[in-house]
Amino acid sequence: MKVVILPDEKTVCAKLTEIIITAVREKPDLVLGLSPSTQILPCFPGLIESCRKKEASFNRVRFFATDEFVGLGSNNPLSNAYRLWNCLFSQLDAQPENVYLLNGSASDPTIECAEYERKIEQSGGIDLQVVSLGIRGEVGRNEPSSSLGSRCRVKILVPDETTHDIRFPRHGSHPKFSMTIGITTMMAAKNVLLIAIGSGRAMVLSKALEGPITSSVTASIFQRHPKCTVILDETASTFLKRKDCYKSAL
Amino acid sequence: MRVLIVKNYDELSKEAGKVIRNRLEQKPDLVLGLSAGSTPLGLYRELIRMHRENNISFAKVRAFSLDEYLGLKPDNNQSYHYFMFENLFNHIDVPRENIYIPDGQTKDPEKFCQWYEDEIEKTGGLDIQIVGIGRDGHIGFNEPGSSLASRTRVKTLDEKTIKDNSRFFAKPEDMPRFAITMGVGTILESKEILFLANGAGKSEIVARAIEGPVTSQVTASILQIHPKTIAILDETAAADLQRKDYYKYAEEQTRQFEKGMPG
Repeated sequence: MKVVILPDEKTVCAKLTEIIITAVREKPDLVLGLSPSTQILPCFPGLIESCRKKEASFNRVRFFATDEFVGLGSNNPLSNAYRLWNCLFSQLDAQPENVYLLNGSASDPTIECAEYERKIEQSGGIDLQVVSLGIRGEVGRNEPSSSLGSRCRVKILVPDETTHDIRFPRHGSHPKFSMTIGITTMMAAKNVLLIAIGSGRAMVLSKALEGPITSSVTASIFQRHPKCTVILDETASTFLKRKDCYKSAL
Repeated sequence: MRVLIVKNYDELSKEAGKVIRNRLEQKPDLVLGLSAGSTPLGLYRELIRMHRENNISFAKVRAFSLDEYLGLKPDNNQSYHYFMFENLFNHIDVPRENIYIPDGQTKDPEKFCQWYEDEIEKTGGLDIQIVGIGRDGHIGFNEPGSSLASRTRVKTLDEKTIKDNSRFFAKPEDMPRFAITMGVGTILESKEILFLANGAGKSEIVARAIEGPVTSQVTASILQIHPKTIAILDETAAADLQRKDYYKYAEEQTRQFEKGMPG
């Protein structure tokens, strides 16, 4: 695991952009897994800018998202699909047929999940999975206690979610179910980029990186991934015991 | 892991029975992994009741037992062979030739263990394995320190296990020191696992298994990496779990979700 500690959110975003752009240049038909989380959203303008400046083309890139709320279709402004289209895909030269998203309004979410897993497989597998660390140590919507051997499926979200997503300010309005790619799905990606920004992630990040592998902190499984890079800002690094080693390794 | 917390042992047995019944209805020739010990006893009573009252048939089931003491004859009333027949097989219609139990009297354990693995594989693999947990965190007789990739083999029993189980023997010194057990790797290959625990004596180890580190010191902790495990616990065994409220909430939601599902 490569741990990259950068001064602030801005430099984390710049680094993430740089890695994605490099990957797209190396492999123009890259299979890119993206999390629609608020930790990663601020990095999108950098990608859009690069595309506009013709530093990279997303024309052949295939996109997969980590998760979607059950019941929210892509036309719903609260859905992850809407957020990704609005903030990213529509502003890149991405081809709509290369954008694979979970359909929140699918009549049978269980089947939708199984099909999504198959589409990932058919693409040849995810080359680069970009995912952020959740406040409970979750990646995607793999809440604590999720199987570390899971594939794409429906997960019950923890109820206190309501307080953290600005799209659902009213108590009780947050969707209860989500479709999410599983831990095994992410582990099968050739490269994983784990993003953690802010002091709110500091404690759980130290557990994920330096604690035991456990389903109580699902991101801890990345300790077993052959090519995982963690990019974090200084405030998220507070509780890392081996901070100095990571810095000198750069 | 799906964690279902129920009021008491009776409810645990009934819920576990429902799971097995449902799987049997989906696949009458179910490959069923069974476990001896006091925890699944209520489940076996439930299966017998279903067989008698609801015409549930086990005629096509292939049944594999997890483990057996080494050195005990099948008719020894402390052998798991005896236990399984006495508490389940004698009361349901599973054909004798479909029953597999490790041979505690084998002269060549290594060869026997390989044969046992091969027989499991020939069926297409276990569909659902029932496991309990020892106070030392073992599943099967995979004592602390067992390889998390192990296959069926002979294991030396842990001091804690010997202490816990010797009370069942007329003379404590009759308690065997070795057992044949499916390995952790064997158990993990089962398509589904039904993990049962009851009683306050298990609460600490249950919490370590479900929420603690994945470690060979608590072999049951490996169930955290299994894609489809259902844990059914009574309130007392669940007492030390930190995310009890979430499991209860998730279970309620899951049931609602399943109800609302088409088909």
